[in-house]
Amino acid sequence: MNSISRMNSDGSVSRPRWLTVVGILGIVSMGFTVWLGLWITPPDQVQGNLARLLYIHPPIATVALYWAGGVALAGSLFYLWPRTRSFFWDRLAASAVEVGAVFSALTCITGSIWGRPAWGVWWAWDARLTSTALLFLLELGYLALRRVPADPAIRARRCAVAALLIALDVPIVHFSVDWWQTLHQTGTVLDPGFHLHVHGSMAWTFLLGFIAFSLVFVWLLGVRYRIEVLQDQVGDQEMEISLTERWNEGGDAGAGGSGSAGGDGTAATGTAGTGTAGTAGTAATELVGVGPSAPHDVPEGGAP
Amino acid sequence: MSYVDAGYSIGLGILFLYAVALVLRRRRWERALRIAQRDEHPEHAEHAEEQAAPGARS
Repeated sequence: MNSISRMNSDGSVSRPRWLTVVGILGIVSMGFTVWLGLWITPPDQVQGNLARLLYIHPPIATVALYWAGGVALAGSLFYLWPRTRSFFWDRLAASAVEVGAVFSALTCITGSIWGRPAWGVWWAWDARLTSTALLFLLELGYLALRRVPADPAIRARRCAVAALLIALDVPIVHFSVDWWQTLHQTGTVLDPGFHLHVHGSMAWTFLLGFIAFSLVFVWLLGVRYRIEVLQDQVGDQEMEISLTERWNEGGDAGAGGSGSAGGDGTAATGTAGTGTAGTAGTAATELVGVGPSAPHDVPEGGAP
Repeated sequence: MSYVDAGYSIGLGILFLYAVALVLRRRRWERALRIAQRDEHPEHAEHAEEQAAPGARS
């Protein structure tokens, strides 16, 4: 187990304190960002009050693109690399992609709300907007792929490859405003020469916005990761219960043991494929061993 | 309502709803784990009894 979720002696998963602290800091910094962004900072010389939307839109896009995309890429690469292969990385990448999908959707929504008064349209098939929408669709595809029943190891490998496709889109989104003529402006905060475009209280609010959304991302990622761990544990428990029940049924059925053995094999494949990973792999292996050829499947004194 | 208000409300509102949904999902899975563990233990106890007295049920 790792520091994101620790297993207690009774098998339950504890909630790490640092994650709670991160969550509280995220909420507090978010509150300050909204307060500064809506009431304290002055209106922009060109955009007026509309510029206040930019205290949340670029930070949300940063999280969607770099934090979520980076964690998904790192997790997938570590999973694919044989020396570091662990279901920890698979779960982390899956969690990052789901949280990233929410932030990608928010990027499109907040950008669209800003674009309507600024550009006169809700949406344009501009390179930056299209590649961001593609990122969102790729993330949805990853989540759909994750729901396809398969052996946990095969599913993890498939998803890791899918995450690499998502990661390929990240530099396209980033450089789209440089590579193509777009409606979207180039660097909002920094230009290519790393000169700051924003100053004073506006710059501090921007910075706080980046910190706030990053903290919220870490908290969401931690909670989502723990759900993955819990899903695996429940999957393990269910398989063990199912195995014990079948075992008992086999014992009760007596000579009918061979029939229930076939049922066990089917149940094992179905349960393992419908949403368990990690330690479920061990249980799945055990269940595979309960097929018709497994010696301990023969009910006591009932085998033909 | 201005575009700015709409942007903040929708953006932060969706994020809040997602966070609440995640917390509820986590609680549901924690409950499911507790139930699965509770269900598992009687079976184990019964199975242990069977192993202790192999001919008792047949």
